[in-house]
Order: sequence, then C-alpha cells, then structure tokens
Amino acid sequence: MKPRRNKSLLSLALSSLLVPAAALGAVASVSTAAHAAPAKKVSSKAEKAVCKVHAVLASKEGDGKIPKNLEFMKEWLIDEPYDRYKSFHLLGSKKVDLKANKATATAFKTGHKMKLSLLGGDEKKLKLHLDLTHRDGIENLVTMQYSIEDNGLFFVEGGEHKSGEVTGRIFWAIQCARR
Amino acid sequence: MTNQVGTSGVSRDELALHFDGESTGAEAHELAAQIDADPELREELAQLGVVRGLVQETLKTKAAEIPQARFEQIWDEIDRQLDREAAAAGPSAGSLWSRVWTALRPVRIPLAAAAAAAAVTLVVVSVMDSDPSDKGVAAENNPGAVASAQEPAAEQEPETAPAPGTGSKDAPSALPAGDRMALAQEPSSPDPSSDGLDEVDDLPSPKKVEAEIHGVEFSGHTGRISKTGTVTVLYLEEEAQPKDTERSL
Repeated sequence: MKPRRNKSLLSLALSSLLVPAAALGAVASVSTAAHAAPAKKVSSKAEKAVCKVHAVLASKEGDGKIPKNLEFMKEWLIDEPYDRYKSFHLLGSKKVDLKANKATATAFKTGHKMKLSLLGGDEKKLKLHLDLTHRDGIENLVTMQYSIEDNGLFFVEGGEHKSGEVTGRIFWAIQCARR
Repeated sequence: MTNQVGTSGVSRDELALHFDGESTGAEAHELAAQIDADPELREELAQLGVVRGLVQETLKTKAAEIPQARFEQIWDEIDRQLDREAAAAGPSAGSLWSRVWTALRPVRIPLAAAAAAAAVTLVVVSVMDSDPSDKGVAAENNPGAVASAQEPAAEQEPETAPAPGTGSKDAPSALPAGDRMALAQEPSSPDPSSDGLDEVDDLPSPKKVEAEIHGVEFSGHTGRISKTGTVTVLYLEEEAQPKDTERSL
C-alpha cells in the first residue's frame, strides 16, 4: 500500500512539472515554426544531388571501437544489424554529384563499380537508381530504385572480403542530399 | 508377422537398425549372414539406401535455397541472445545503479518526458531572452532564422564566414536550414589525390530513416532486403572466396 501511495505522489509531482513545461514548449515550438516557415524554401523537384558513399569492411574480430572516420555513422554501427560486428574499417569513400536522369559511375579499389542516378523526388525524398557490380567490375550484382529522405543512409551489404589481415563483409553506406 | 521381410524371419525394424549401424555383436553378425544368404533381404536393404539418398538430396536442395546471409543472420541472433544472457547474469546486475533503475521503472516515462519538456523550455527561453546584439548566437539555436540571416551576417562579420567551398553559393538551398549551418561549420578541403578517400565532409550528419524500395533485380544472384524501422539494408550474395586487396587499406 505504502509504495503505491509513494508512486502516486511522485507521479503527481512529476505531472505538475510536466504539464506546464510541455504546454510552454508546445507554444514556443509552434511560434518558432511559424517564424521559420517563410524562410524555408524547399524545392519540390530534385534536379541535382550530391551523394557520399563509404565502403566499409565489417569484421567479427576486433575491440568494438568505432574508428574516427566512421564516427558519423556510429549510431548505425552499434545497432542492429551491424552490432554483430566487432570492428569496422573504411576501405574508401567517394563523392558523387548527381544530375537528374544522368547516371554517374564510381569505382572502388575493391573492384566494385557503382552507378547512381537521380530519378527525381518530392519535397522530402529523393528517388534514386542504383547499379552495383561484382568485385570483378563487370558482372552486375543488383539494379534497384529506391526513395529516401534527404541525408538518409541506405546500406548495401556485399559478400566476404579480405583486406590485409582483416576478413569480413563489405558494405556501402550511401547518403544523398539534394542541391 | 506382417513386419517381416519375406520368409526370412527378420523384421523391417531389425533391418532398419542394422542399416543404421545400430545392431551390435552377435546379432549384427547373424543379420549380416542372413542378408548375404537372402536376396529379399538384400533388396530391402538396397531400397533403404535409395530412400535415404532421396531424403538427403531433398534436404541438401532445400538447404541450398537458403542464402548464406540468412544462416549468418540466424547465428548472429544466437550470438546476440547469448550476449544478452551473459550481460543479464553479469556482476553489474546487483549494482546500485541497476537497483535505482529498477526502482524507477514505473516512473521512467514521466521522468523522461519531464526532462525533455524542461530541455525544450530551457532552449526556448534562452532563445527568447537573447539580446538582439547576439543575433549570431541566437541564430545558431534557431535553425529557421539562419536561412534568412546567415548571408548578411557573413558579410558583416568575416570571422563567422563559412569555410572556403562551403559558402552560401555552394550551400544547397534546399537543404534544411540546420543542415546548412552544419555545412558552414565543417571545413572543406577536397584532396582528390587522397588514397581512394574523397573528401566528402560537406554533407550534414546522416538521418536515421528507412528507404522505400521501388524495384530490385538481383541479376542472377540472390539477395534480400531488411528493414528495422530506422535502417534499410540490401544484402547481396557475392562469391564466397575472399579477395585480398591489401592495397586498399
């Protein structure tokens, strides 16, 4: 009985703090959004975009630390499905400038070749076309179209790969934003 | 008995046990002798072999249809489960922090909400209270204001101007204002001669969002798509033989 009464009191106290704070926060957010809205112009058509593609080797051996050059995607690397790996090694990173309906190819030192094109999009999302070859650079592994919010990360995981003493799986993290 | 093979007196069960190598000693010798002497028993034994072969082939075919990535996923899930169990049984289970955390369980959500609301209030109040002369500082906390105020501010205050290559001309007009602010803060010095690493720091921090797949063709290979709610991964099957590319490190 006593713990329940204590919990009720605590909940009541917290609620009395929460309600005014939330109300003030909501009013302020609406006010800020209203001021910000006129300044924010979003192009409904995506004509140009820039993408960065990171090729990463994920290994099940390692100390679990995320290297500095992959710190920006730490949130993904410590979460499913990449939390199964113990180390990550950046194999290469490429910047790809995209124009609407024009394919841009980029090659990685692993031998894989990637082709990206901007198919369009709406206010929020970019629609992209992706081709990726086998490590021989010739045989196609996949052809796909996908949409993703500006700056969203899309992952493509390939086969086993060995780089120096490290063996693991190679994956590509693709981030695109309209320009 | 109807279970007997022909007139041999040997039952199918006994024969099956012998076939599986489970009959022993004198019994095994006796059965072997009977099988040698009786063509009906030999025929029955041969049929058992055919059935086993068929079953094995069927299972192998079914197993081959499951992509390697799927097996790995299953093992990874087992690994994770073991890790979780190990963590649950760890020495920290009875620590002060875990006891406090357990005690707070009923009020965790209200506490988190109160903390979030307090943080929002603090930010809003600090923005509202900021002096007009500190507009640059206020703009940093107000992404919406940056879009209209950043360019003139950059002209008036050279020390706050964006780094070369990331100025207002290069900044994407359609990017969220907050993202543009991040661009201005990041140095951009592309070095195309770097070893396979393009300088690609001119994009803001990536967002945790799912992708929408419109169409996918695996070109003769197998693959699958996994969505966790915040991340989309396309898994591809590639030849298993690892290729050494030491130069790429």
